[in-house]
Amino acid sequence: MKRITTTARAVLALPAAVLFTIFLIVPLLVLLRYSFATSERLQISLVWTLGNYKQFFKERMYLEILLTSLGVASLVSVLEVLIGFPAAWVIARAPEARRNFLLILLIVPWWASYVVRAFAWYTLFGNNGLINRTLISWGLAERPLAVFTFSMPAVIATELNLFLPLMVMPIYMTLEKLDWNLVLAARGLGARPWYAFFKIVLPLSLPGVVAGVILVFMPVAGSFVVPDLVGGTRGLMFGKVIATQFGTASNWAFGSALAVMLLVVLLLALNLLTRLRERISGEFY
Amino acid sequence: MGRRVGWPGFAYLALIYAFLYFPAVLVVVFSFNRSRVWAFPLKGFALRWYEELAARPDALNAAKNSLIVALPTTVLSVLIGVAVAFALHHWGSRLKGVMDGALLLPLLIPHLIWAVALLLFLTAFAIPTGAATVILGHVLLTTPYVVLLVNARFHSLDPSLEDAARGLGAGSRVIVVRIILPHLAPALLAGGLITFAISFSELVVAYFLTGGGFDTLPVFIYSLIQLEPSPVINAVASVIFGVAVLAILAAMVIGGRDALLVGKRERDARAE
Repeated sequence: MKRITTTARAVLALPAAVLFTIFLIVPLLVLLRYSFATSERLQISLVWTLGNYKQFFKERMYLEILLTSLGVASLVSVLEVLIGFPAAWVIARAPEARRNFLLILLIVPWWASYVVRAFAWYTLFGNNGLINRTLISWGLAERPLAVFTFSMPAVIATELNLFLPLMVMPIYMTLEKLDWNLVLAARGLGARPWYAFFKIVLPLSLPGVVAGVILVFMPVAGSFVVPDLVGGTRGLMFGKVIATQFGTASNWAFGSALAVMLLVVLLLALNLLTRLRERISGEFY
Repeated sequence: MGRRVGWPGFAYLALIYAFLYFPAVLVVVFSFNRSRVWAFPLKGFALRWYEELAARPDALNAAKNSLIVALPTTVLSVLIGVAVAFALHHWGSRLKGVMDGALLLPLLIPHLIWAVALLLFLTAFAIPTGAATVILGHVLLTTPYVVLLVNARFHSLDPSLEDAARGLGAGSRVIVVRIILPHLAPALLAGGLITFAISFSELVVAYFLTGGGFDTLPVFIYSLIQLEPSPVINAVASVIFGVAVLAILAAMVIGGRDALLVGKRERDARAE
């Protein structure tokens, strides 16, 4: 069979290759370069210094917020697995005719409404938020309750809501192609349902779980809109700290160093999780 | 087949969907509420927030800007994405793995990092920010989806069709125009619609690259939240939500299963 020539292929791939190199790789290099520079107000001096990184490690606050953000992202990922796995299970066990409808219902909010849903949570929380005002007007509370103000719990609730579809989808994909005869065989040989679940279904669906964790952990660890809208002063996340350096603080060089730190940590996490996923898949397939 | 899940399973799923949808529903409900504050009980139906919105030149301008960004983004992403998918078609699996990884990276790294990196890059090379730079950022974010979609669609193309056409004397161009492109059409349309929805509602990249003078609707929402929070924002958000949902639903209907499971890996597609 005649296939398209190498030249044609190169020409076709060229626009994307150029675009992704110039506007993704080069900007990352610029980011890296600026992280070794100094900036005063908007004036950037392209010197070579480790000052920004020293500041990052010297002022404990930044490291602490980075660790907090990673902790929040881990917590959100674990909770999403616990909430999402049963949902993926029910969809996978639904009659085939209904499955696509359920999947559409699941994925539409993910693509359609990040800002809209983040804004919704903004109106829910806060001293004057929907929850507190409603509680007070119904006489269920006398003054605003702290749980429902802008804080870390609000950030976690919002992230859980925003990223749930990204956890359910990959788990569903592994459950969908799982060979049920294995489960039936185990049951036939006397395994109790829970035993069959933990010995067969769970190990076989682990690659999907890890894929879901990757899809949720990475963006949550670097989120900036959510902590900005519902975090207040107590729900600070690293993404917001970075954004502040590029906004009101106007310290682009330091902001670049913070962004590089986050990127390095996230790429390490991605590498670990990908390797874990490959190992699991290799063991069971 | 094993035992099906009973009503407790579906009750749980209903809860999950309620959790997923109630924020958006809340936004729409309060866009029609007469009161200025977000609280129950509702104070009666009113269109005042939409009227206020329609009377604001800055809102109309933001809507216009959103279209100015989303439409070219859609066209560019589809063209570039299809070109890449064509190049990947029949490509060796090792290179394909590399491409897969490269394509997925922009989806996994937080948008904030791309946004500030792009901002620095544009500043360093003294490129003024505006519509063109936002379009650029959105093309980078959305092209991978188009490639994944079209790739998946390529796998359902029966190779013997190509062979048969060639055997009957068809040239490469005829095969592309008469066989491959018609087969890919649903994926192209779905990819375009998904791209449009993403670009139309994207905040972070637009926020950092607009440079103040060029607000899209999501950026407009964001500045309203900070400067003058009121149910006018609910009206804007409802508009964005409505447009995006329509585009995504259309993409699902046209693209079918490929569009639904856009992240599905190719080896799965092959195994089916």
